[in-house]
Formats: sequence, structure tokens, C-alpha cells
Amino acid sequence: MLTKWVTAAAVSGLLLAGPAGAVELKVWAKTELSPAAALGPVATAFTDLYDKFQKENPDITLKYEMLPGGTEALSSLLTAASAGNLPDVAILDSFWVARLVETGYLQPLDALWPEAERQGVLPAAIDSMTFDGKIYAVMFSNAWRGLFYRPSQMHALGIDTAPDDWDSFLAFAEKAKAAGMMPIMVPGADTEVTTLHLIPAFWGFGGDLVDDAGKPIFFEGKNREALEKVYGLYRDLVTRGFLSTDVATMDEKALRPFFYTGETAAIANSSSGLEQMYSDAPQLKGDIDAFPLPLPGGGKAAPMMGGQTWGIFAADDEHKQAAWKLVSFMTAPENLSQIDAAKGYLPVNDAVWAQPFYADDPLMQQFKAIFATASVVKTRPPVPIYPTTSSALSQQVADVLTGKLTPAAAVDSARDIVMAEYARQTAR
Amino acid sequence: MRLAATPGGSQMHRRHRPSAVLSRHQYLFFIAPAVIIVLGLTAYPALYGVLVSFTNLNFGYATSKFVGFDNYVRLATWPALPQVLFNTVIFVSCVVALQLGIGLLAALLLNKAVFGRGLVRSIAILPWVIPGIIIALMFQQLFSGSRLGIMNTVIETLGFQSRSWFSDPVQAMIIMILAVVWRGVPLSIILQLGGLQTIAKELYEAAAIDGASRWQMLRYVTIPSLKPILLINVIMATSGTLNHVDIPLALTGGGPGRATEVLALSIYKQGFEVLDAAYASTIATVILVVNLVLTIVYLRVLRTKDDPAR
Repeated sequence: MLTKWVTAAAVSGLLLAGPAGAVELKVWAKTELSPAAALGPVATAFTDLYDKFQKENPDITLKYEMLPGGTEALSSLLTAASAGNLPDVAILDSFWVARLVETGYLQPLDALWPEAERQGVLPAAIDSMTFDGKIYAVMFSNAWRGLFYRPSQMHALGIDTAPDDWDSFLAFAEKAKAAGMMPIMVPGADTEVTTLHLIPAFWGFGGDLVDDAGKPIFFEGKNREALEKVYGLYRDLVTRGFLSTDVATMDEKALRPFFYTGETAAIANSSSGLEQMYSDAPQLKGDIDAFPLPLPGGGKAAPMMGGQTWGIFAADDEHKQAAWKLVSFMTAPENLSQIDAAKGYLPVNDAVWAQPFYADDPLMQQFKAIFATASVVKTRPPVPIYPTTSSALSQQVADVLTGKLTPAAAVDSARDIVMAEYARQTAR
Repeated sequence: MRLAATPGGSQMHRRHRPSAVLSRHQYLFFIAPAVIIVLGLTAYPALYGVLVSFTNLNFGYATSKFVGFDNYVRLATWPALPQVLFNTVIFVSCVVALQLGIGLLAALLLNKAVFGRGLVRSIAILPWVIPGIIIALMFQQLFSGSRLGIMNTVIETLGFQSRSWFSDPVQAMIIMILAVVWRGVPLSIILQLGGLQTIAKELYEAAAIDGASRWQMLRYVTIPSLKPILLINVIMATSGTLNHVDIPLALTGGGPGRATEVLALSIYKQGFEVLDAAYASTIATVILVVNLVLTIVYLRVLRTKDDPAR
């Protein structure tokens, strides 16, 4: 009798256990980049790829968990770091990587990522993930922020090409206004999205937020001039009747309905919002084009580099190798293109750009050309003062739009907020 | 020897003593797990938050240290504090007053034998079970400045021009209050309806015999009898509204400018946008103290005269 029970227990144990010696890999990602994503094609892409990975790697068991959205995810990761409960591998916003490197738990990838495989990756995508000479994350997506318009609407206004300089932009805006449309809408709410549209124009005017040591300098010399020009540009657009003060509470998402109904001729948005726009208003498929905001004086808003990355926390060799297998699999061009295409992300390597979804889409090729031809491509400065700077810059926008603050006063106000915090941070 | 004088009673007393002690204190054993869990999930984080408010913990840095009352001084001298406090007072007082007032009115109606009362009682709870973020998105869609906004469609149909509802500070605050009230009223209805059903009919009969009008019955019978329920309702509504972050965040984000920024939203912004966990904890500690003070005030003002604890 006893023998029977022992045998039954042994068989049950074998059945319940995974493959012999399977490595359990804990994967963390925010919901929108997981099999539970709200955007159907993204959920399908992740489900299919994880299934495929499991079939190809029966010795690895994926255990994925959701991270909250936005910056809350960073605090979850930092809490997990202090509690010794970090995942083996995670999808990280490129902006968090510098902070996570500081914890000492994020693993350098130089030994895992062969140099040959790094060929064809946009240099800025590797440079921005390199700290003290070591690569800490594999960037797999990028996004472009700028103005989106409907070519059909533009043609109806008698304009054949997107505005390429300030004068053609003014001509476009005048025609849109005369046709009863709001010429452009940009986010003005007190959120980082507002800053993400403001900074490219600031860079386009030749400004810099921080110096090499991470000290805020946006209120000094030519940087101050550049920021005053950006705030001045926003106010100028309002006084010309090209931009409404109504945008003071709007983010990118809130602007889209105006674009769908044709109430506005152009909205400031992100390339990663395209799939959502096509999903909301399928008639827009094939009828959206983009252009960077032309600036008075001849420049253009500079593209900003930034996106999602894979990072590895597992320190033991077995889990680290398994984690790299997953990263390597998910970033293989044929697999990565499924994710990037479903999400509407821009690739950071040539091999994915060559995939049909990108190669055959004129709009995607246009984004590629914007990055390739831009004289300035930057990332958000990965310094501790950036969140305060971003918040201080966006806080001024509502008052600038309504004329309550002059551009100079707005720069002073942002400076006071940022430098008070900087003084606290440097006194730590 | 005195025990011997009453052998039966004393032996019985001695025999039952252990179980009597158990029965007197066994409730502690049964409620202990719940108390430990509740304290672990509420008191511990709250006290930890107070502790963090005395440090310079910032998610942008790996280390933190004790800084005394620096964060409190910083909060007291924060230039936006007067406006955020003003917004918070307006928001909380309007929400609590409307929630209680509409809840009482609806409860009085539903307490009467009116047609469809059962159905209305059942569906009245629905807004309470909808997550705040969904309610915010619903109100955003309702008051979207685009022609796709439902209110704009309605007013355009009536011949008025569509408008941007959230760009006006007063309008934005009113919509935010309405959204929170819409969500909170069902709880008030349920609490107050329950309270109304416990009031003895004899009291109304006696008042009617004394010639009391309907208003007098409400003033001198209903409301005094409802005081304990109103007390619970007002405490829950006040603390709930003071801590409310999901609807303000998703609906207005505190804008335009800071016109609808309330203290709870400032916590979110400092903690998750600026990553300044210590400063966020400082604001949270202030809200905790305000909640406690208001609860004590409510208890003193609304406690009934026959309350033995008075």
C-alpha cells in the first residue's frame, strides 16, 4: 500500500513539475507592452512571441507580471530593488535606465550582446544606454513627436506640401483659420507630454537644459534666449489666432478628437499614437502625414530620441543567460517588427526599418528621414533634476498661453522652481 | 471557610471561571487577525509615510537622510500652497455638502412607497461600483471641447455654440465636483436610507398628533434621529474627498494652470512626476492630520446628546 502511495506521489510530482531543470524567468513589463495590452494587435504580438519563445526554449519558463504605467513603474522597480525582489528581466522606459544603473542591480550587457549584432543600431540608441563605458539596456523602440495633419484636408486648403519653413507654416495656418479650423493644437496641460513637445523647439532654437555635469542651465545666455523664444512662439500663435488657450488642460490624447472631426488642421502628437488614431478613426488610415514645427529664423523642432528598452537584473549566470535569450529573441528583427508595428513604435535599427511594415509605409519612411537628416538628435537628460525641470517648464505653459506670464517671467519662474530643488539635491 | 458556607455556588463559580474569562476575552482572539491586517495595511504605511516626510527621499537618488522639519518648512513656504488649499477647501466642502444633501433627498424619496422604488434602489448603487478613473473618462467624454463632446452636441442642437468646458477654471472645478458627487451620492443614499428605516413610526405619529408640519417632522424627528448615520457619512465623505486623486488626475490634471489642483493631486505630482517621495509624504501627512482633526470636530458637533460616550 505504502509503495503505491509513494509511486503515485512521485508520478504526480513529475507531472506537476516543469521540464527538468527549467529556469523560471520573472519578466516585468507595463500592461501596454504585454499579452494583456488594451490594443489588440499588441496583446496578440506579445502572446504569440512569448508562446513561440517557450516552444523554442522548453528549458525556460516565463513568468510575466505587470508593472504600473507611467513613472509609477519606476518607483515599483526601486521598491523591489530595496526589497531584493527585482525581476530577472524587464521592459524599461529608456529614461529610467540611468537611475536603475545607480541601484547597482541592472546588469551590463556588453559581454552578452555581441558587437556584430549591434551593427545597424542607431548609435544614439546605444550611446544613451551607455554609462561609464558599459551598455545597460537594449533600446528597441523610438518615437517622434511633432505635428500631424491630414493631406486631404491640406489639399482642400490648396496646399500640396507640408510647411517646410516658418513662412509656409504661417501661410498654411492662415488658410486653415480662414476655413474655420483651428490651425494647430499643442498639449498645454501640466504634464511631461507638454514638455516633450516644448523641448524639441527649444533644442531647435539652440538651447540646452543642463550642462555636462547635470546642472540646469536653461535660464542662462543662449539657452534662456531659446526658451523665451519657445514660450514667445506659443503666445505668438495664440495672438495670431492660430492656437487656442483651450489647450491649457489638454494632453495628446485630448487633442485627438479635434483632429478626427477636422476642427483642427494639425495636432502635436506622437508617432506611437498613430495606431490608436487609426483604431479610433479608421478613415484616417493613409490620410495622415507629419512635419516638424518650423521655427521663426529658419530652424525646425529637433527630434527627440527615447523609447522602450530591455534590461536584465538577474545576477546569477543561469538566469542572466536565460534572460538574454529572451531579450535576444524579442529584439530579433522579424520578432521586434511585430511589436513595433503593432504598437506604432519607430525602430532603432536598420534591420527592422527594412521590414515590409516600415519599408512600404511612406509615413514611416518620413519619420526615418526626419531622424536621419536632423542636425540635432537628443535624449531627455538622464539626470535627477530632469523631472523637476520638466514639471517647471510645463507649469508655465497655461499662463504663457493666456498672456498672464511673459516669456521672460515664465523662464524666471521655471528657474526659481528648478534651482531651489537643485540646491536641495546638491546639498544631499 | 466562607466558600464552604455556599458550597454549590462557589464550586460552580470556580468551575466556570476559566470559560467565563475566555468568553469575556475570546473576541480579542477572533478579531486579532483582522486588526493586524488592517493596521498593517493602514497604520503602518501611514506611520512610515510620516517617517519619510522627515527625510529627503527622492526616487532620483539611491540614498536619503534625515532632514528634520525641512520639508514642512518647504511646504509652508510653497508659493502655490494658498491656491491649492483654497481649491481643496472648495472641492471638499462642495462635494460633502452636495453628496449629503442629494443623498438625503434621494433617501427620503426612496423611503416612501413610490412606484419603481425597488428598481431605483438597485441601480442607484451603480456609480459607486464604477472605478473613479472610468468616471473621469466618462465626464471627459461628456464635456470634451471637441464637437465629439456629448454636452457640445447637446448645446449645438439647442442652437448654442460649442465650448471648451475645461479651459475655464470655475467650469473645470464645477465639472470635477459633479463627477465626484455623482460617484459618492449612492453611498449616501444607502447609508441614509438604512438610517431612515430604523426611525420608529411612532415618533412621526406622535409628531403628527402634536400638529407638526412635514418640515418640522424632518427638522425635529428625522434629522436628529439620523445624526449617527450622518456622522458616519460626513466622515467618510470628507476623508474620501480629501484623499481623492483618480478623478481630478484623469479629468483636469489640476488645470488649467493650478485652478483645480487639490492637495491629493499635489501628492501624486510630487511623488510620481517629480519623484520627490519625501515632499509627497509631507503633504500626505498634513492631509492625515487634517482628516483626524476634522473627524474629531465632526464627532464633537454631531454626537447625539444621549450618547453615553459624550
